[in-house]
Amino acid sequence: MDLFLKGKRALVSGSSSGLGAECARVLAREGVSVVVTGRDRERAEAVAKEITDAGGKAAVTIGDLQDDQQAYRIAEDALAAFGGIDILVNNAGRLIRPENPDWTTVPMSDWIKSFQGIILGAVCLSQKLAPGMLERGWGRIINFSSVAGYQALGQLLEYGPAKAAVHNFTINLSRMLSPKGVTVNTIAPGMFVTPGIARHMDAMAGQPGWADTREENEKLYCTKHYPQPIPRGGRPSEIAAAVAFISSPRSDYTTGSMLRIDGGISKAL
Amino acid sequence: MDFMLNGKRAFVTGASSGLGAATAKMLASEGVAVIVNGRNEKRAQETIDEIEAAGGKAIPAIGDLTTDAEAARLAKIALDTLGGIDILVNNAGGALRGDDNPDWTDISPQDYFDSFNINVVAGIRLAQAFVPGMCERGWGRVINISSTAARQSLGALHDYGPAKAAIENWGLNLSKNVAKDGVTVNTIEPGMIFTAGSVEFLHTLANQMGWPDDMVEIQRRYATEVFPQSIERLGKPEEIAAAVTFIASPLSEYTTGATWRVDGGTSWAM
Repeated sequence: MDLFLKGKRALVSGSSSGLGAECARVLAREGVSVVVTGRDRERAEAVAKEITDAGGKAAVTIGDLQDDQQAYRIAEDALAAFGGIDILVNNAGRLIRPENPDWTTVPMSDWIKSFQGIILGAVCLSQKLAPGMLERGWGRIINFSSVAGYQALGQLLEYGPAKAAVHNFTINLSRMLSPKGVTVNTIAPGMFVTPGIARHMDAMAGQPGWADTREENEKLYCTKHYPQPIPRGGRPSEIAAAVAFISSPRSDYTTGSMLRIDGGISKAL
Repeated sequence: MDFMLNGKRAFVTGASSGLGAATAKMLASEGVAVIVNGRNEKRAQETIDEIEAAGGKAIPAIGDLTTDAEAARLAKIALDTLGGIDILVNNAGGALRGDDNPDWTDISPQDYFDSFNINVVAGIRLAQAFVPGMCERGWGRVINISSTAARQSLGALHDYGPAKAAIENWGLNLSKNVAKDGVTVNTIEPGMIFTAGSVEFLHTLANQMGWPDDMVEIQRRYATEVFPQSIERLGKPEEIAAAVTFIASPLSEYTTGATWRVDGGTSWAM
């Protein structure tokens, strides 16, 4: 199916690895010029090189979205790279305390870091990139929430509330931007073996109820500890395809919407 | 993007017009053999002719899904001609009293039964016919077409919203049973879509409100003044069809039990 994305320009946050890198690759395959960004220059450049080697267009800018000045600078770099950004994918947002400490010991500085990385970075990039989209009358902002924003885990308390805030931001912003052709949507991934989840599982390795290898722990995670109808972790390609489809002009009527891609783990409607 | 649907087999209910016809055509254009179900033989044939003219494969199954016997007969046509169904799109349905929008006290218990029959039970009849085969083969899709009226109250069409809420609840429940067999169950929630039925409704509304006879302006007034939404027009049937096709694709293997709004920002809740 032609997604009519050829010639569009995208910024994908957190695209130096994991889900973000796959989103960048898949968008590039559809003819989108992609700005790759992350904290690690070597990894970001490797993703960009993969894209250009495959005949796509990519640029790189490095920075940390937990710092608003760096976030604004990343947006400026992205605008300069291809003369504008049509599609903003706010994928970055990591687990600050993957080792899951007792919640009474998590200091406010970690809560602030969590909210900065997960929601404020997305707000900064949106502030800088939405005006150009509105001027041109077409644009996309795709925000990454998480099943943890909607279904209580009884742990990782600094994470779920920030992810819930993401979708509230999405739907509010969609009210403002969509009359002028810019849609704002949320993707809510469930269990994906991202670097953050991998660290979490590594921290559990060898503990009672867990195995020693990451592969076995992925299975245990999805069948025993957090049982879900599709008993495996998601594949990055499954998120990237949805990002490409929502980016497409075929999805012009979809806004303020959330798509769960979670192997059926959500119990609520 | 390759949706990897070539060679799959779909049953689309209410495919003789509107969203169902657009969905049947788009699935067929991705290489899916489509059973075109509808009550109007002539209109269903128009959908089939268009699919065939574009090089696709389509087979009619003409009839109504509101009795067990008739639904079983239609399912048998599909199984006999294609050998199995991989993708079931439960699109048929609607507001039983949408034409005259009566006061809620004038909607009879029989109207509610009839609404639940076509909006909920019809889809369940077909799922019972097709899903066991999907589970055996280890791959399948059930896609229910609901409405924003399932989760957002209109203060109108009282037979309709509760029935749509029921099909969403049923779909979520079913998704838990069949995921282990590779079958996903999802819901698409369209907002107001530009179909023959909604155009007729808008013309009536425009008359009542004294709006100019210009469909672009009528849509804008509807979407800003009557039921305010973010995108100031009705949706296109192709916008729903594309979402159905994407959820049908193996690219969406990890998506189940999800409800996805394609509604132009009609829904106000998170």
